[in-house]
Amino acid sequence: MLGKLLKYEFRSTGRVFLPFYGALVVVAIVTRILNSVKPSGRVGLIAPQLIGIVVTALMLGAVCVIAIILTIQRFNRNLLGDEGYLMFTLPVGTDSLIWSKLIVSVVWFLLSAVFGLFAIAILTPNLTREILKGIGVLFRDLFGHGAARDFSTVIYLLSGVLSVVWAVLSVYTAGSLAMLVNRRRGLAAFGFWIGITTVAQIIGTLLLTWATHIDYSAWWNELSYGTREVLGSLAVCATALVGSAALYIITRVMLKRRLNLE
Amino acid sequence: MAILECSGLTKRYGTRLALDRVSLTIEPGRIVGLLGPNGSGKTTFLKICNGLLTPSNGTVLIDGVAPGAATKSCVSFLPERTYLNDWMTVAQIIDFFSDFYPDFSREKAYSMLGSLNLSSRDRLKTLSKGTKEKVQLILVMARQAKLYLLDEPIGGVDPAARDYILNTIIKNYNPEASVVLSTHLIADIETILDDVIFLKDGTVTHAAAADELREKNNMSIDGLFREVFKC
Repeated sequence: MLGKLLKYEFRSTGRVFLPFYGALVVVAIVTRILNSVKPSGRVGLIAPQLIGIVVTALMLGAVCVIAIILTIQRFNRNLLGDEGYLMFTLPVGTDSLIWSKLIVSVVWFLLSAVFGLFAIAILTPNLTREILKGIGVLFRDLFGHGAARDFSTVIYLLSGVLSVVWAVLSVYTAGSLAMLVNRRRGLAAFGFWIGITTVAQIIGTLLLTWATHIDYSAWWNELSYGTREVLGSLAVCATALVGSAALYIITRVMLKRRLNLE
Repeated sequence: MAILECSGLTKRYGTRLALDRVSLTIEPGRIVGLLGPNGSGKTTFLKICNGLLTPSNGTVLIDGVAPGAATKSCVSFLPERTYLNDWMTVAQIIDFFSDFYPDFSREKAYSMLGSLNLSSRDRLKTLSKGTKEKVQLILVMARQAKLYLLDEPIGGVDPAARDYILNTIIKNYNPEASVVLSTHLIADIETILDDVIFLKDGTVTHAAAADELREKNNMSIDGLFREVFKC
């Protein structure tokens, strides 16, 4: 059933994102073409170039905003709003409902970043080759320094994806906790979200303080450089994983045991 | 075994009591009228049976199981509000139901669409509220469910469509399936009811066979309703 839910979720959100990505790429290409025309003293040509750059920059910002708004809207409208009457009467488990929303949101966030970078690459003359070269250098720097370093690089990248997962789940948790309130659930969800991010920052700071005040030099110094790298990356990943798991559990309990559709 | 059984079902919204220790049993093959004025707890009761609300106290069993993924495959629910994805066409929402419910009949759905002169190519966003309600009812009745829970199925449609809806419910009669209809338009549905449940301020005041109630009180269900719920 998760596959079917993903199909409809991608279809529903794709009709917003895909045309937007298309428009972003087209505007970037048009702007680049305009940029490649030499003004040769004709001031009139500078205006379209400037407009193109401004429009592309605005669209880059808009892609991020749309990804955030759709994440909030899909969860609130499709699960906690009127459409929830259909979604929660489908013969699917609560986990499938949460996973379908989460996977699709994270995919759109990552794709938005890819298309944003792609638009910048198109827009900036002569930079495309440099960026591709830069990506090659980046991968060479990140990988090829031994198995331990490569492993920790993969774990750090995974932690980056997990931080997006955490951010999406924080929105879901706040929205589902708002069901505890009978009125002004939108406002309550925003309040819960502020509370969640504040608590997460406090816990993060406490963990960091604790980690820097422990005297583990005796055994730490005995470890090889590679092992330290791996342990460091695993600690970062584990923190993101535990944080995401905690939010997932709260969301799941709220939707499974405390569902209160208005 | 009863298709729906609830015991001591209570729901509070803050300090307000919406359902107060409701205990009921609905047997298979019955058409049951869940009758009561606005705010009597009908919608709350149906939402709890569908797992859309968590009861404050008490239990509900659908075919012997608490509401969950398993019960949703045998319950067909029509809520009192429009729950359709506006961006879809009628044909796409039929595909959606067909994908998720193994007991959904596309043939039946298209046949009902034809009878009501509705086009499958129309986008749901462009349909009127009444037409959307008809589409929802078609989707719900095109399933071969064990239990149909219909919240105000005739409230928002014109009298001609009302007759068609009631005929559809009767035509779909199956000795294994039960239909629970919540409404306050008693006169329109009285003739098709086997059993009647009166809800008043969240409590069950009457729960019996329709004929038994008529005989006992020497009046129609509509008349009894007017007497019980006199303002």
